[in-house]
Amino acid sequence: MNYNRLRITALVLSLLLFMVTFLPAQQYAEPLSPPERVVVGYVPIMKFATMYVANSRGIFEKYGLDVEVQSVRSGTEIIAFLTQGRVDVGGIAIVASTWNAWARGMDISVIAPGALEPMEGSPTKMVVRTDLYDSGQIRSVADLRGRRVAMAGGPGSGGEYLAAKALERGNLSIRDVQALNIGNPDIPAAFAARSLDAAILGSPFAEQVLSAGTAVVLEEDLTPGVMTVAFVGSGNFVNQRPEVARRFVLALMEAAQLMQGDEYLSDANLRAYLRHINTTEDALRTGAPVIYDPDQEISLDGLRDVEQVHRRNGRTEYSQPFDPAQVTDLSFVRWARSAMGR
Amino acid sequence: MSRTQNEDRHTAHKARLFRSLLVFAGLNLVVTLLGLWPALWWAMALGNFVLLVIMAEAAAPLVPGTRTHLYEQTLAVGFPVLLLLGWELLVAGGILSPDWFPPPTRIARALWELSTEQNPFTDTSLFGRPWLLPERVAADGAAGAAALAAESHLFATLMRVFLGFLIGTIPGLVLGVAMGLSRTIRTMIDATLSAFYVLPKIAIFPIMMLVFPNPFGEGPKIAVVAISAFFLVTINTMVGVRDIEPVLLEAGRNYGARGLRMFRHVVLPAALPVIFGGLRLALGTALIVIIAIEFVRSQTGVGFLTFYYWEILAPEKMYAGLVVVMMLGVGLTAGLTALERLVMPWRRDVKQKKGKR
Repeated sequence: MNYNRLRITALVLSLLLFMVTFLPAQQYAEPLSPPERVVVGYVPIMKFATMYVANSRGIFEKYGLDVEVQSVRSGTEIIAFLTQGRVDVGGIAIVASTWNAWARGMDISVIAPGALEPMEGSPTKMVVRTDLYDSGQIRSVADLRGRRVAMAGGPGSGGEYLAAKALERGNLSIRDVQALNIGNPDIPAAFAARSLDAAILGSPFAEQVLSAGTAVVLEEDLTPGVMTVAFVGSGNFVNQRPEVARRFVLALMEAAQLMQGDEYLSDANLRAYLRHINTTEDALRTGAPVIYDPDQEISLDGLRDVEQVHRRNGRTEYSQPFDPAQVTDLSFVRWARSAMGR
Repeated sequence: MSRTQNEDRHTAHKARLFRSLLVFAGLNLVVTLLGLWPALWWAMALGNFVLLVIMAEAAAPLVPGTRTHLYEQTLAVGFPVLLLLGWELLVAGGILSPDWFPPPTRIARALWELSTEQNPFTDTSLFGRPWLLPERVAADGAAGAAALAAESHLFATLMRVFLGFLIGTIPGLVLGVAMGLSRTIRTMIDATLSAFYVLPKIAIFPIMMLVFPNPFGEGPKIAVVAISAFFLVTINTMVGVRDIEPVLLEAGRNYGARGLRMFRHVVLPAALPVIFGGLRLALGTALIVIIAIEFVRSQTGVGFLTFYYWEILAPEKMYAGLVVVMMLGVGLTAGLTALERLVMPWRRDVKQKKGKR
């Protein structure tokens, strides 16, 4: 009898130990009731695909989030809406305007990463006109001095950051070339008309000029593993509604885990991508994928590099380095990781 | 009107002014004391505007005749000053965000910086350094002047507007007169003209980029400005010529005017008021179009500068750019009005006579 009681006691204690060890994460991740509304503004690019998958595959609902998504043309607009409290989370590129916003003390912070640049086979390349390459006039980045180089997005944009990183390889800066702000869709025609010398070009336009033979690759894998886009939360969302923010990041992490390997192009995911951005299934299948980190690591070193490049290009309204750690809240990703048992 | 009646009216205006002043002060005091400004600021701005109009209306009859002009000038200058003051107070009171609606004092400072500080990376500023012109021309001739002009965003915009306006206006005037005088030409071209007129001119910019050998040069920008001006000038000139009163033409014929003499002495002067109306519209449109193009497709110009500072999030400098655009609009319109007075001196005389009456 005593032996049985001892066994029961041991069993109960084991159960309690198990609950103490494992269940807290499960409890934290319980869906919010009633569901909490979250307004998300995003620039429609594939680097925010975790949000598209979480939205389309019901992961937000699973955690009690009633998410409304709004596609916006420019990250600067989203920053304005975030600071006014009209948007809770923004999917934006970390560009000059973001750094200037932080330097002005605007209350917004990075809560989760967007996709990272792939370590190799990046869809974004520096391409150069074929005739200039074949004639030997431009064989390396250093030969681009004084040449017309197109980059989408203009001054202080992500395109300019990538161009600066490519030019660094030839010890050049954006001031050593004629930087032209041209949208990606216009660049193939400009190459065909020979009105450009080189360009930073993403998918599917890079493939278009390469297959047309009007340009060849000069440099690729410009920023391997770097995070240039992120999910940014408004001060109100992060400070007043942390339970909601945690579940939002948790949903993104769960979505990222549903996008690994062959699952990236599963039917459910393809439907999610096509619902949120203007592209085609073919372009998604042929384009090189970026990295959707299942652990949602936020790389501060990458952010430091982005900040330094924009500052050196003269695009920031300040001159001293700005530490991204001041405006990055890692607690949500840590909580999500713990809730996922990772 | 008797002296007593005059005094009665004077007293009534004074009382009306006093009453509206009292309502103005009382309303603002109550709303401030109750802390209702943040919730009611739109309604208060509108209410204060209406009260100001009532006060100004009441005060006008009290102003002596010799001071009427001064009073009107004070109203014209005072209203925008009050608007700016209101804006400044709304920001200071925390009702408008200083990040997105920077107060006028900060915008003025930003405008000063844009005007006086050279961007160290692009070697450009709003005005450039025109005072170096004699020195550069002496050293490098035209190339020196061109290099100096490239430093000025204002010059870039003005050059595009002037060239585009000129290139569009001259053929517009010729075609407009031809369409006004010839029924055949009008029948042939009118429908086509109407179809092209409604096209948003910014939408044809990509087509212009394909037409010019250097799609990123000045050609496509100036061409779009010229096309915008062309349609407006053509249509207005045609209307001006068609609407000439037959009695004027008849009078001209009676005096023996034919052909070019008829055109120079009757048709052109009679159509000029409508033509100038078209030129004013065309110049305004030229400015709007070039600023829109510079927003997205240029590395220089006031439009570029404005959008650039929005894109990198320096809102006070963006507002400063908008102020420059507004000043450009006022300046260009004033220039055209001066030209109008020069070309049509009889209109000034007519206006003066009407004013005296």
